[in-house]
Amino acid sequence: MNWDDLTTLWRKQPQSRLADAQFDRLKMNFAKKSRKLARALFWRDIRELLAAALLMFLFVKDALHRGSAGWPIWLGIALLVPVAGFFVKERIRAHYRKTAPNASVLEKVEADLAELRRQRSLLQNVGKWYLGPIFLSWLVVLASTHFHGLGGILRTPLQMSGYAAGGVALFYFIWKLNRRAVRRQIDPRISELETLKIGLLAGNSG
Amino acid sequence: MHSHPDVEPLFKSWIEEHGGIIQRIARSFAKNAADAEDLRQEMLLQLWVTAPKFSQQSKASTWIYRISFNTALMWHRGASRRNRRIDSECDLSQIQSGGMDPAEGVAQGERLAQLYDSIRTMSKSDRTLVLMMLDDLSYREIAEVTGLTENQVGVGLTRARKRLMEIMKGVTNELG
Repeated sequence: MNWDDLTTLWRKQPQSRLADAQFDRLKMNFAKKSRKLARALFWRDIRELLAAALLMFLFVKDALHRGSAGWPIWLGIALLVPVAGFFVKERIRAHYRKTAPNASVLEKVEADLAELRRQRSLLQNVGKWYLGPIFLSWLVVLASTHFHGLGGILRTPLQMSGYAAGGVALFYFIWKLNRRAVRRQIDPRISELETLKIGLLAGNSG
Repeated sequence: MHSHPDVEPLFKSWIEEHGGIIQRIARSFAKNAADAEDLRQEMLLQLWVTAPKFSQQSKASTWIYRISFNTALMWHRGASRRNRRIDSECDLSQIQSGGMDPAEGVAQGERLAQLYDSIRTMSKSDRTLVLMMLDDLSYREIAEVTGLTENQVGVGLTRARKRLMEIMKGVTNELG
């Protein structure tokens, strides 16, 4: 075999791509994970909505019980309404966001990527739209309980401070959990989908 | 890893026109099909990430060679798979060839496998040069990719080509 034979052999070599069966498996796994993501978001929204509804119910009951002194509680409830509304909006959005059943894998991957990036941004700003209003609401109710002498175990400033410190620690813990979810779950999945998207763009049929 | 708006069509055109480069380099640097696919994915990823930096003044193929060779030279078997595996349940090892008469395909496949085996035994710098020579790049283009002068490329190519022919001769003799 001389050099010309080698170059001829080299230039005649076929292009390769992922075997169809392998690629089908890849697509199936993507579909499975995509459904899992949709389910996880659905149950998160429902859970949060129910928690907000329960909290509002308890606050309303307390506000009615206090009569005219219950106005700060109504303020606390008002702060919770947008949070609950947000999750309702999320469900409505998810309903209209669904990709067509005949959409290509690439389109579905892009839709999932967009959704994950959105969730990433929401989790990173969780303090503004979720923890912040809830914290304020909690603070208002706590302060009103204290100042109206209805505090029970929260009568002394020391008890009050201890309770407030515990609350702050809890909110901080929840905030950290959200950051961790971004790092450990959302970012790796985004990276995985980006790789899949590149593979799709690189010629494997979608 | 957000994509630049112009990256997608650029990337697609690269793959359509020069996809073979990536495939050939991957196969020349990886010992088996699974690793070659792993390396190919890594190279695609690097091309995707670096695409916004691509200047239209340089040739796309030169850019692709440069990024792909750099990735291949830095690549450690299994490293990228651990970090960027598309899916843990998906075995990417099976790569199929394009349409060809089966008998001819087998014979050609064997000869090609010998050629790749021989290329893989060469030093990384010789391998880089010989791959571009087989792809019919000019001295100037090779110089652009490697950063060598055209004279150095000429000397290196003569040496690499001679070395490859010797290895191929040895392989053919061994096979009988």
